Amino acid sequence: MVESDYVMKKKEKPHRSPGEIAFCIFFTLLGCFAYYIALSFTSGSWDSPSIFPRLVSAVIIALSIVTIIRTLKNTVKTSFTSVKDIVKFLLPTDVAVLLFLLVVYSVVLPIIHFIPASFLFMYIAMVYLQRGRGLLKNAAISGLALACLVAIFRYIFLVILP
Amino acid sequence: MKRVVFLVFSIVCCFFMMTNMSFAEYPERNLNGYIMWGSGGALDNVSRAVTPAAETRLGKKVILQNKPGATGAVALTYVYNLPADGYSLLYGSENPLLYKVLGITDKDYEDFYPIMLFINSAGVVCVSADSPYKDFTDLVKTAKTSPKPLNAGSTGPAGLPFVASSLIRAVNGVKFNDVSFDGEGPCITALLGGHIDVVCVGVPAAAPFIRSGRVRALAVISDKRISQFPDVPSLVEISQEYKKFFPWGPFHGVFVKKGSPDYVIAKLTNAFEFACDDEKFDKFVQDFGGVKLALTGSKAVDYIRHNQSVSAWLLHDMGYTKKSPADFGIPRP
Amino acid sequence: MGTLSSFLVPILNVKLLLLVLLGTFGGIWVGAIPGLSVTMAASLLISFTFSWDIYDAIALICGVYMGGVYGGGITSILLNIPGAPAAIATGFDGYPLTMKGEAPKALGLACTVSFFGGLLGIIVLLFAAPIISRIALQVAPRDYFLLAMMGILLLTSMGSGDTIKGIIAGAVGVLLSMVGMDPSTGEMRYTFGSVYLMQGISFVPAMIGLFGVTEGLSQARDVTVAAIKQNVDKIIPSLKLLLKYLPLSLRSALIGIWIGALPGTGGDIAALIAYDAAKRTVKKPSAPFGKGAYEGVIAPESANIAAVGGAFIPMLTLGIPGDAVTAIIIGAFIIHGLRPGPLFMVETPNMFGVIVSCLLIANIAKLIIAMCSIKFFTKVIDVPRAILIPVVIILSVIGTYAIQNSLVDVYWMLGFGVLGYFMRLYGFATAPMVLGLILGPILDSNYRRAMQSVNNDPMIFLHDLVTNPISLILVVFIVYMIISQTPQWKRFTSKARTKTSASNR
Repeated sequence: MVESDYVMKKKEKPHRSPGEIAFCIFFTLLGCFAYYIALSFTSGSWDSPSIFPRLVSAVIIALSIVTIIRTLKNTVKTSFTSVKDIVKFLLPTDVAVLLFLLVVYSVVLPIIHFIPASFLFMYIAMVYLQRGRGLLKNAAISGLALACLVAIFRYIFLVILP
Repeated sequence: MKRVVFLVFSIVCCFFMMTNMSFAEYPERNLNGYIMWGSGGALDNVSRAVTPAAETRLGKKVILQNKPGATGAVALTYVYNLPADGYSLLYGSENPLLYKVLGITDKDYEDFYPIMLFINSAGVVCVSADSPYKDFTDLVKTAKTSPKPLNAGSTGPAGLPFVASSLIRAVNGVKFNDVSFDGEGPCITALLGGHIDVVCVGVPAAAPFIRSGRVRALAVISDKRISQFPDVPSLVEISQEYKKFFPWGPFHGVFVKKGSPDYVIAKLTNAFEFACDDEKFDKFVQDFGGVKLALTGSKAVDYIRHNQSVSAWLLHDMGYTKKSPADFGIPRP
Repeated sequence: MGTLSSFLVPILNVKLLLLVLLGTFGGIWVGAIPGLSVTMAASLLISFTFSWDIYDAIALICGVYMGGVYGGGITSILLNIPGAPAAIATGFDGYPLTMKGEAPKALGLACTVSFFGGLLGIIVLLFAAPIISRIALQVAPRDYFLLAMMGILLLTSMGSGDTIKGIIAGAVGVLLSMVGMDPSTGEMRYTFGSVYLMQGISFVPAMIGLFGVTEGLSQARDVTVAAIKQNVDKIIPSLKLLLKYLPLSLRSALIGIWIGALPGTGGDIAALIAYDAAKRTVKKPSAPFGKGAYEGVIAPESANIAAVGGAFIPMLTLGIPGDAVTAIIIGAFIIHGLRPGPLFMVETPNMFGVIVSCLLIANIAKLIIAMCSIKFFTKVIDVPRAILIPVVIILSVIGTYAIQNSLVDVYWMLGFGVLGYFMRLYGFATAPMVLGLILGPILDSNYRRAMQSVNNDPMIFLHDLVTNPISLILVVFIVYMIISQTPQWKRFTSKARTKTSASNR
């Protein structure tokens, strides 16, 4: 029975994702901010508007701190070689592209309205996700899907599209 | 070849939908109607009952949506932020008149033009059938002498139950414990379950329960008795001190934002006048338990302003307001 | 109960029959598509059917209602995107089942128990409506508060993911639900003077974002993953399976009926509480809860459909809506010149029979239509991710916009979607946040109502909790729920179990 056996028996600590602590800190700060604002609501009696917000903010703060401590204790910082790798993990290229398309879509939607914007979004997203294959097929699918959605929402449910 | 046909077909479909416009006179397309209270409530029922007939005159549909929240402030602000082009109608009750003094928002019906006020109804002071209060004086006596204040239902500071119970507070000098609910319906439910002692709600909400004997109406919040329940005394009968507040009561109507073009106002007024003349609407009013107003134009504006004077100063004198009505140029009644 | 012949009216009248069928079919689709809700559809149908005969309108609406509640479960199971809030709990185990390739079986099971749950709801409506409504009236604000507490406690026992992180997500949800005007005092909370925040954060855009868009973005992390092959052989559950799960289904349906009968609460809360109850009472689930246990699909699907029957109870006996859809139906009655209220059954006795019949027919229709279309719906899984993700996102957008024609809602939805993506990445489950948004207002309002009723005296509040039978029962449940989570209790029960097994040897 030597040191080597002992070393083998020790469990490997799981790795934590980059930004996990930061995310928990975000929640803690959110809780603090919420609590602070809640103090300005009418208080004083047991039925005040401030009771629940304060209670809930306190819970958030307490548990977030607990989570931060637990994460620090139980996990090991993953070693990434560069910032580029971190970003790649958080936002793989596909997700990043989708997010970018979403942002563009949100901005463009009020301007060119629903049908063209959605068609473009779907078409570009599909073509991109399939790595440029099936240009025609995707246009058809986007068009058909859009036609169905518009039919259901605009004509049956009388929703005026944005 | 098949793929090309399919593709062309899809694209043609898309373009067909995109170019779906027609060129005609107002209204060119369907209108949007925003109801400031939730489904199933008094305002909702009135709005949905009167609109179909108006639609026949307009030639287009009015798509009704409920947009409740903040005692109607959400809907009012929402419609206010839309263009004054006559395609957005606001269906509202009397609550906005108190927004300014209660600090809920700085907009109210002064920023709108009343196309028509359909109906007004009276409130009734209700207690559960198995409560010990035989009549109104009984209730007031108990409220004054009881060590624990009575629980009164409320729908928020701008709602009828609260303003009406403030009226009673002002004249009779009693205290109530306000318990707030999400609407007049839940108030009645709570009354039936014994969770509150008294509530002032509109006749439409209370009528089914009074008729079936589950709820007892102690007084009508008006200066005269109502035809629906002729045995219930009016507050003015009980005490002359109430006389100065009336006529007053909840009302329901349809509005457009101020600054809408004249042809919009003319067309809409015409359409809703037609709807109110309909005998189906008359029957509805009778079942509803209200009085048909059918006020338009300056008569409507006067009615609204008087209503606001009464409510705003009443609440202010009782100390429930954040700002004085004088700050907004609201004259005493 | 009206004349016996009123029950036969929809059965014998072909037009009504067809309307119910049409409504059920449409309802399944409405329920399935996220963003389209039965409430919205019912609201539209009221305007649409204004000039129709009232029986025709009722037939259509009942069909949509029954179909819609089940329909929400379809997308919840297949795509982890609840089509309706009542289906959130269905996805907890439904989606893991899809991941295991058992989606058709899950859908078949859900469909069958939905039939039985609905049946029980209708039977109770038929025979016990007056008694239940009388009891339902006795439920005080403090009891609603306790019920919402029970729903929140579910967060502490959700199997998927870290418990503490789940509570944080739920707490943030509750916090977000407080944004807006306080209904009691008119005070603005967390609105920062903005008009958009004044109306609060609606939970439906949050739900669509946290489930739909989040799912899309998360799946985009690896677009090349092939769709999981689904085992299409076993759709209709075997008789043996059915009998095994029937008790659980009926128990859950009972919970659903009661919660549906409470004015203001509906299928969504019923499903959650039923799921939680199942989790605590089923000793040996087919798989751990949250990882694909059949019981985790059966309980919520039985409860949420039974809640439909339950919601009609106060509506027909008192004229008080049991939930949003019945509130709309009451409006329809009024517009058509009827007078809902305590005398409704006396003045229009035939309506009761017609409604019960329509619900029954809709229930049967739902079973048949759903069973036949399971194979078709399952094909959705086969669509490659690269195509499905963009379509789901656009569907989420249009669904969110359809709620109240607000672009701001869409932006909120997208924001929640991105938040949810990061939450998932860091081990926070997204469902608790939606639960928090739904339950938050119920907790807050009812707590304060209860306090107002006792004139802000906490001693009387506590005293009422233990002196009223309904409150006492709920308090006991809650205490049990809390204690059973602690390690001491678990040690105690496992020791007791080993002792009995030792003494049996």
